[in-house]
Amino acid sequence: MMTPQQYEESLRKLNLEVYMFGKRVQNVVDDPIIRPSMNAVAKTYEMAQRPEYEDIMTVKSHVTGKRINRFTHIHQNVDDLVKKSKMGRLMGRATGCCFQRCVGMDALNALSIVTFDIDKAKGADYYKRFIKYLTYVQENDLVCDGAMTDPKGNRGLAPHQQADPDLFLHVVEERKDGIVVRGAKAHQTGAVNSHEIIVMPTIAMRAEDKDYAVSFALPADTKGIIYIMGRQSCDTRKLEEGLLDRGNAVFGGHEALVVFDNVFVPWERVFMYKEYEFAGSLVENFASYHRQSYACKVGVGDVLIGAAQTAAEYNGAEKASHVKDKIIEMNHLNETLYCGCISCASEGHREPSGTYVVDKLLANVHKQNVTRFPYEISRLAQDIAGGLMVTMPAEDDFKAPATGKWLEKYYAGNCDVPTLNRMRILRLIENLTLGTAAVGYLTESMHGAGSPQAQRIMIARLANLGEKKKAAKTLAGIDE
Amino acid sequence: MSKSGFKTSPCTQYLCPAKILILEIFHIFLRLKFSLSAILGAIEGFITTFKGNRQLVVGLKYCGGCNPNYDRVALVAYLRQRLAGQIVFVRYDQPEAEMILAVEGCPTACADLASFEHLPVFIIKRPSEAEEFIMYVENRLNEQSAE
Ligand SMILES: Cc1cc2nc3c(=O)[nH]c(=O)nc-3n(C[C@H](O)[C@H](O)[C@H](O)COP(=O)(O)OP(=O)(O)OC[C@H]3O[C@@H](n4cnc5c(N)ncnc54)[C@H](O)[C@@H]3O)c2cc1C
Ligand code: SF4
Repeated sequence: MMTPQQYEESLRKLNLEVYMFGKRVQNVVDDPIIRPSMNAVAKTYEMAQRPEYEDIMTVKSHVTGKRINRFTHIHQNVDDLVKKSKMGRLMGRATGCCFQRCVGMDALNALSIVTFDIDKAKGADYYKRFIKYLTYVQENDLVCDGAMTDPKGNRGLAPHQQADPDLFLHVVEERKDGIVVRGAKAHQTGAVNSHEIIVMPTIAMRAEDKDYAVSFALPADTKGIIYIMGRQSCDTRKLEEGLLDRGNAVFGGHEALVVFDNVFVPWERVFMYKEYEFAGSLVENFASYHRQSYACKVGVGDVLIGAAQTAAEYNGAEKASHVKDKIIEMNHLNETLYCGCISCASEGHREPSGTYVVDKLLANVHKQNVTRFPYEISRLAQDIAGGLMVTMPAEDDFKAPATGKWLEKYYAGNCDVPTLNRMRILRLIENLTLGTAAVGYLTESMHGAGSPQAQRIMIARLANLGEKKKAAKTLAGIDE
Repeated sequence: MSKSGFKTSPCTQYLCPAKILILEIFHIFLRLKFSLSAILGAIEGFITTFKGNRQLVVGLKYCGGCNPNYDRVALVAYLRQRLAGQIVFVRYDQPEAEMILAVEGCPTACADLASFEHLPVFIIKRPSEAEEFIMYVENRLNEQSAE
């Protein structure tokens, strides 16, 4: 396993083509806007080295028998699935943001199921290729970007019907030694902190779309892959000297648009090629795993609840009954989220490949809750924090002699607490509910791993209405 | 074996003083915790061993700490201090370990203990159980010195 330092060094060796604010980023690792997101991924390496987290963060590989980082593991039993949920909460609480490494883990697990199924149905040899690739990832302790979401153009049209065929990533050429692909993947979490990028189709497909039914993995710095960084609200605060106004002084996340401009993929890294009948299964398995992965929001919720309670204490309002009740409500919502990610793991089952997968109904119910509860938890945190979290002056104003004395005087809360500490906790609440971390805690909770409607479709499909009707009719004495 | 408690153990073996000192230093470097109490504990341990007293070599296994109810690392630091000269903590996978101390953050106690079936395992799930562990170690060492 790599240490955080080795991880950072390994990123320096990559030659990524990254753009931000209209310019090429030459030094990605040290760029002040990107750096906090690298710190968050590095934390997944650091925690794995520490004895007090090792039981969750590491596991024995079923391929090599060696101890590996759980983020590169294929779940071998229900305990693995449960520990994955616990790891999400642990990491979310340690970083207070998206730590970016789950998407790759979920892509690996989904591919372990689907490559096996394709081979069984079609006599292909994808599974063997996949296991070779997995071994490479595990042995080198790599970060993989899980790239599913296409730009999608007109949402009402299938891939082959789009005005521009590149709006879904597709195969443009088949060669003896591999394929050439073109298109893009949007909203890619942790893209420029990744060693590898694993591409999967974004929707279930029909025969007309078979050129779009493609899955493969590439080194992140493969020629023709271009990264255009997304920006986050308050991102340029990271360019300022002080740390207070950032809210979270160390960690953050990032997303990017990843363009594939006629990129060559060797056959040994192709895991699906025009088997359109299996695109839906890959999407469904990946989405189910990733909906479970939103256990991370519980950990971030822990941070926000801790911040709200601290703000109440700094304000001297912690004994008010309505404040206590709001904290209870925040905990109730957060632990309800935890129930979902633990239960879908506990009810997991074995697929023919040997991989364990979560209960898909419960994973979708969990994610549906995630689309709602962090918003309510944030509302309550803002209620408890008071208006100062959005009206307080800059750190520089606290440092400037002309203004600092007034801010110290008038922004004091509980007199036992330094005014600056009060400002720090309010900035953290701002960061989580309106600032850079709100990308992960709120909008990603809404759309990441699929927008709310995607879960409702799955809930409708999986909810076993027949059994419910049968129970009702039996009790009502209806004999049909 | 009960979830909180211990199994009867094989006899405590003698370790040579040099080996014990190396183990102590290795552990300190491994954890990168240069706390004064740990260093003093190691020196005291060495002196005790040099005088001929037995030390119990305890393999330390933490749960993953997803949502612990108390500070597990602080609890171990406390045990290290209280039992200085009587025990040596090593990594749970070290062959020298005569028993395992599993430090679990909550009553779920989900640390993977499957590979320790050949060893006695003492499980701590709450801070109050630290005192039980101290008594266990002291009783065990007393029994052995009486033998
Ligand atoms: C912060 C963040 C991080 C992410 N990270 C990753 C990542 O690492 N990897 C990855 O692959 N993806 C990632 N995603 C992408 C995520 O999966 C998508 O955002 C999600 O699938 C929704 O797609 P969209 O954003 O294009 O929204 P849209 O598809 O435009 O959806 C907008 C609205 O339109 C509705 N809609 C869309 N199409 C239809 C239709 N055909 N019929 C009816 N209604 C429709 C939706 O239900 C929704 O209400 C991330 C997203 C976010 C916000
Ligand atoms: S949002 Fe959560 S699940 Fe997704 S990559 Fe980030 S930490 Fe992992």
